[in-house]
Amino acid sequence: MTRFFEVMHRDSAARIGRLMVRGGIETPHIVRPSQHDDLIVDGGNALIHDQAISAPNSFNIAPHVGLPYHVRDDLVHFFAPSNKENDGAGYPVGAVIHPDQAIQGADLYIMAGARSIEGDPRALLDSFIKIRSLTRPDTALYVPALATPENIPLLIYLGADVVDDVLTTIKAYQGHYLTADGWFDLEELSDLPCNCEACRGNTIESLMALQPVEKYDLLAKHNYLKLEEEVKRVKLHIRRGMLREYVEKQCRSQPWLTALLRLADAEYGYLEARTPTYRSSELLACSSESQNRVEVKRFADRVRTRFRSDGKVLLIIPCSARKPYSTSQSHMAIINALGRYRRYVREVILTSPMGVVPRELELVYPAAHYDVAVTGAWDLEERSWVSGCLRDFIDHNRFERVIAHVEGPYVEVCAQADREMIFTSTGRVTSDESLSQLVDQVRLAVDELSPQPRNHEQFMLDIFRKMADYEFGKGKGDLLVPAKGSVKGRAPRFTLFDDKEQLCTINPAYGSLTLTIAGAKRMSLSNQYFVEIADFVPRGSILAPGVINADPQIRPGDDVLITGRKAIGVGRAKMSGWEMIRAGRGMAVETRHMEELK
Amino acid sequence: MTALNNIMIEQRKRQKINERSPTEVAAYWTGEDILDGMPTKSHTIIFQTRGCFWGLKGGCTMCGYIADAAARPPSPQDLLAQFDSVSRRIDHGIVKIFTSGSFFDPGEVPEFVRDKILSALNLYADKVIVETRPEFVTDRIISAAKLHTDRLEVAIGVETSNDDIRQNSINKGFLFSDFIRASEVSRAHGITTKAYLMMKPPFLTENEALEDMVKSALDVAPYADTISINLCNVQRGTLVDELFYRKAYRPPWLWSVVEVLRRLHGKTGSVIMSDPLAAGQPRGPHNFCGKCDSAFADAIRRYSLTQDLKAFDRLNCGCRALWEKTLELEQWTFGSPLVY
Repeated sequence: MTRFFEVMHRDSAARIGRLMVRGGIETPHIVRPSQHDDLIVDGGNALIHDQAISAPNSFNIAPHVGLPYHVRDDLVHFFAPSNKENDGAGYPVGAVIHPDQAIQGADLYIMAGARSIEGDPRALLDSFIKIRSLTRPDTALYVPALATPENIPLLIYLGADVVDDVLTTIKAYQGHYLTADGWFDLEELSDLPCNCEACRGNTIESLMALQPVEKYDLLAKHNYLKLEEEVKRVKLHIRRGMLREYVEKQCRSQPWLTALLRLADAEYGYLEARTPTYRSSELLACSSESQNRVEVKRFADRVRTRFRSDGKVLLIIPCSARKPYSTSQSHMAIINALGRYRRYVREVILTSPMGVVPRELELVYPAAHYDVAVTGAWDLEERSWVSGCLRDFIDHNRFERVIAHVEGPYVEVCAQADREMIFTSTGRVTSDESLSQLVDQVRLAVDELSPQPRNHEQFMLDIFRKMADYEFGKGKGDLLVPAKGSVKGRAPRFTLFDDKEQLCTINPAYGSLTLTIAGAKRMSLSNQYFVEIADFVPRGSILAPGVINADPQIRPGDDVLITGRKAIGVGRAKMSGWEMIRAGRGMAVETRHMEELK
Repeated sequence: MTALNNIMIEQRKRQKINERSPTEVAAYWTGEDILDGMPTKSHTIIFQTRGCFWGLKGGCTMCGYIADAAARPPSPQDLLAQFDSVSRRIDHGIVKIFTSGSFFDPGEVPEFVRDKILSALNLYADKVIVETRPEFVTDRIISAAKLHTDRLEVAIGVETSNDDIRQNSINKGFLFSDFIRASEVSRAHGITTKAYLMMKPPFLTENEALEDMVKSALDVAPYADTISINLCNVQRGTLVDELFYRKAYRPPWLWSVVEVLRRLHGKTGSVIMSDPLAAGQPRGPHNFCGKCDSAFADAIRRYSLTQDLKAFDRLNCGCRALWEKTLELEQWTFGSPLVY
């Protein structure tokens, strides 16, 4: 068990943690070899040194031969350290690791020779994924001699906990002036575009007039300050849960960094396993990569696999800027126009980048949380993604008629879905003419198909059913929602009751259901979304060491059922289920209700 | 057999052999060397033999000379024909005889061929230097060779005094004690020893390589009259070549070479020299700026001939600070060069 590192906050693969030495050092942390930092003490090259070191309050690295990513396997094998338990005399242990090599027992792992894969996004991503799969989640990962102000957001986004000032220093000595958006040769600068401590008191002329070592040291100071500034900024974004938005911006300065983000999205599994399901932060879709982020893919995936509509008539409407959609003027106009006919249709909202959002799920994260750049023009990728989502939605359900009440580019997206549908809008969807055509078509469908009406109470219960299916799996909604259930509360903070028993509440901030123990029991979450704890009655939150078993598909933000021999309860997961099982530290579940079992 | 040797056997399968007529030498060139403190002409002959026995079994990680071995083993007549093709050009000075392995290995050069070449050279050469692995420095071989040569020096690629580096970075296959034994055998016959050291074999940082050279030179000095510091260059088809391609290896900085020579100056009784082959090229020793390499190479050659530190007096370059920072910080890459 790691005694010297703990993860405090997560945002996808990025973490804020604490190295538990010297009174606690917050990560992501920059070690400073250029300033003779001794937080990490290196036993050196095993070809030269054989003496293990044991410095208290430092991470001790046994003598080793580090091999970078691309060297052949047989060499990695040849130089692999003997895998005897490395306890470092009880002091913190660091281990130099190659992605094809498992080493047990360290508190901090060092990506060997990462410097050699600067600019090689496949190798770098593969290194993160492999090292993370070979090491326990509650160990720190140090990516040495690679961090620059430009690449640091991506390194942290992919899981670096510790970096250093080695490359910023050595680049200074090569005359490179680093900034968050690229580097400049000192010789080409006519001005110092920065207000840091090193730059403020200098001009390019005064800098160039210095002796080489003084000049480079000053440059190294600037480069370091820029790196530090970025790390601080990234931490802020992690705490806000919006690091993704930041890296979508920051990856732009270099093609290889953009490629790194795209490759990470294409891998999906690595980021998905670490990305929260629900959260209170906004999701801003400002780049073409936004459409490939886990939250968007996962939403579409769950609509495809977990959502089923019982309606006969589908109504497609365009999204609105205001969320939830039904509070927008355009949606209210459509709803008002439909009047009593609304109970015969099932509504789905067409939107980029979310794809299709069934009305019943409009409060779910991130459907109620996103904002997207709107120009009226959709690019080819958006069209093909959204029309694909729509086609899947139509194919996976059993509608007998599809009415598309859409305008502008939405018309083309609907057409591209290539399914039979009736278009009812003649221009703006809210024009009187469009709305009356819509009502005519719905009336016609009702006459011809005689679908079952769904009254308001049933619609409200359906929201809970569909949200439960979305969150906990298909079929869970029927278990949760009783036929005679009642919904109370002010929109959108609705609460579901069975007679007087409260089952769950919609938490609009997080875009998810908040369960009571009764609600969790009804869904029989004993084999899904469960966290099994040891024989104790939790007070407050549940820590990872107290977890015996957990559903690996749990993600941060999920509501879970807590089961143990002495207690049962519900709470919100703070880490992924697989992480609860493997980690020896950190908060696993924030409990909400606990009942002691007699 | 070590696992590193197994790796080398795999490596050799990928290596191309240069095709040549069996009656041609692999190489011959003339240059300058130092004899009794005076610069003198030198002749270097590299015979084409069946190849280094150690190299054929895998061999050393940086050695590409196995490519100079003949595709089919040359006959004794072929070897003598090789010698005849260059012997006319030898008038005086130092003659250095190499094969891609050991001249004293009877498997490479039969004894009577060896003796014939040595006695023919004895007519013109002021000194003959023969390269061999220490396995072949035996009483029997040395006393036989001595019969045909007045002034013989045995050159051995001991590479480093660190057995761990010699075995697990270079895969040399012998120990420092083997070198000492060979040197003592030679000395007993009045024959001098030249030690070849290898600066910056793989898996070492620049600073580790620098320190290893200084220590090794001090360690070998009692057993070597001449110490030649070979600067690792990236030869095609070697393991070092592969590491270089994979950005896991960088040849030594010329700054480091000068530093080694400076630090050793006056500390040993041996002549210390270095021939900066391929200096300034990406695959050879080089600094960073791309401008100062030839000045450094010239200075190192001048020092080798004069043993005078003045050779380095006017060396300076803006890339010195970067070199110093590299020495200081490179271990923080944990396994790759910091600056390429």
